[in-house]
Amino acid sequence: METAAAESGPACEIARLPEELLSASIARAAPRDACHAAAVSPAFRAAADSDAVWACFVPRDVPPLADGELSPAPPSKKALFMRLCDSPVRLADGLTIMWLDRETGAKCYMLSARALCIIWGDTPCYWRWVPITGSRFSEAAELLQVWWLEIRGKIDSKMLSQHSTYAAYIVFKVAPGAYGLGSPYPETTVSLGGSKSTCHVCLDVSDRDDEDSWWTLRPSRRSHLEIPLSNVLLPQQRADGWMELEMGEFQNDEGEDGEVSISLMETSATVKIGLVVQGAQA
Amino acid sequence: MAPPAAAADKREGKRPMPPEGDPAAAAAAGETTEQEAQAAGGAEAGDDLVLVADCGAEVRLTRSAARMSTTILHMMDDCAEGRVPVAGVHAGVLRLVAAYCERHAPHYDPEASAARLRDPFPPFSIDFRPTAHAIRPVTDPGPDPHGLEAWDEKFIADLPDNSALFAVILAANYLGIEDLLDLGCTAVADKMRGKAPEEVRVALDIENDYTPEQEAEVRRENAWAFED
Repeated sequence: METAAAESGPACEIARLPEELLSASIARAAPRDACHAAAVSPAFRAAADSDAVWACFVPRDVPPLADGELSPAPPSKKALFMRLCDSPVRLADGLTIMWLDRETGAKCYMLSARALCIIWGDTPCYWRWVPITGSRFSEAAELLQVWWLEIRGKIDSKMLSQHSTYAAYIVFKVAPGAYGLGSPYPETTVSLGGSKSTCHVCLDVSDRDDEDSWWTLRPSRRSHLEIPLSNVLLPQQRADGWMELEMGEFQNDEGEDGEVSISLMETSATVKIGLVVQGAQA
Repeated sequence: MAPPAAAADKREGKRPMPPEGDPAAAAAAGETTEQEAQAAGGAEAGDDLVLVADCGAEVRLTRSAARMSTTILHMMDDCAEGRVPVAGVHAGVLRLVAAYCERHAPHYDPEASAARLRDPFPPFSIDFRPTAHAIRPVTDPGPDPHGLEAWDEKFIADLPDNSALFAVILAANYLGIEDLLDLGCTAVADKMRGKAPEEVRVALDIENDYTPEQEAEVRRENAWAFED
């Protein structure tokens, strides 16, 4: 072995590193870099696809999963990482799903609408529960009509990945006949420990007070339009047909004890109709 | 502590660099007589060790710096007159390793080192926004109260080529110096980070011995990493 190395000459100096040290180096890059490394050479592929590398990318502390979520068990750590990125897994509580961000290995969560605290959500004339398809959750909360719109959620910060900046989103649809979701702009807050961020959001860009429409015969909502639209977060369409809207950001550092609280509120005297809430994610 | 046979396995494939055409070796050869004179002058003061490379060149190392190497730590009490033979590590590399240990010894924390080695990813803070997926090292340097991070950066930058970097990694592995091993492996990772395979080959002097079919298969398997 040593003789062969002495005769191999200056090409491929890196061949002098044993596979475990090459893996130790690749483990200090990112999952995307490890996949690129596999395409460099066969020796690199062996190191880059090894469990030694991907065990570092998979978070060490995954919360308890629902029964049968990972069966059949993935054959390698790389397969496990990809499985957790490609499709969310249900947690043991049945109300939350988790997946990994493929670039960073950070844990992402979505709380189902049932896990959220929707004020007046249990009063059937205000909100009702509807079955949905195309989601890992079986039902969503549909707003019939309400004046006091307040939705809250929370997640234990220990479940999140350390040293990461997260954003929280609400995942929803706007039903036909919706009203009052565009303005006044609801206010969202995201807080962890002592820090809190507040934003204004617009759930429905098509529903804004138009001074030329006959809606101005009603008491004007325009006083709330003093917030310029450039400061308001707008929803984005997702590939699965639902909308997602950022509610704010927060920084999770050392994983100190605490809860991340998120809330969305619009409690002025404007009726809101037609919001379908699938859940909230971080 | 691994028995010597296993330690030799770790150095598999590593040969001391040939003396001709190697500036580090020439420097080592030039300084050998001076060091030997010092050693002969009774410099085994009880506080310093003398690491002896294969070629006979000697590198002085204080005992406090030596405790950063688990290998030397276990050997030094058994060595006569504080002379520790270090086989398979070139004198120039030994000198670099010794300089690293001397600089870091006053601030050495074995538990922090072990924790970093156990869980190296991610090595920097993650900025997780949905629209900005590029991982980048922490650009805000943050506190570096002892100047160690700046020193480490210069240490790596001053290495003449990849060959020297790999030699340092192999030596750190054999000598059991966790922090230096972490530094070296991170330097290799930095040369790979954010690069396409062709760029990695250039950065690390690697020959592509894939057949086109094999390479296409690997790219297909990891398709997500190759789409933008």
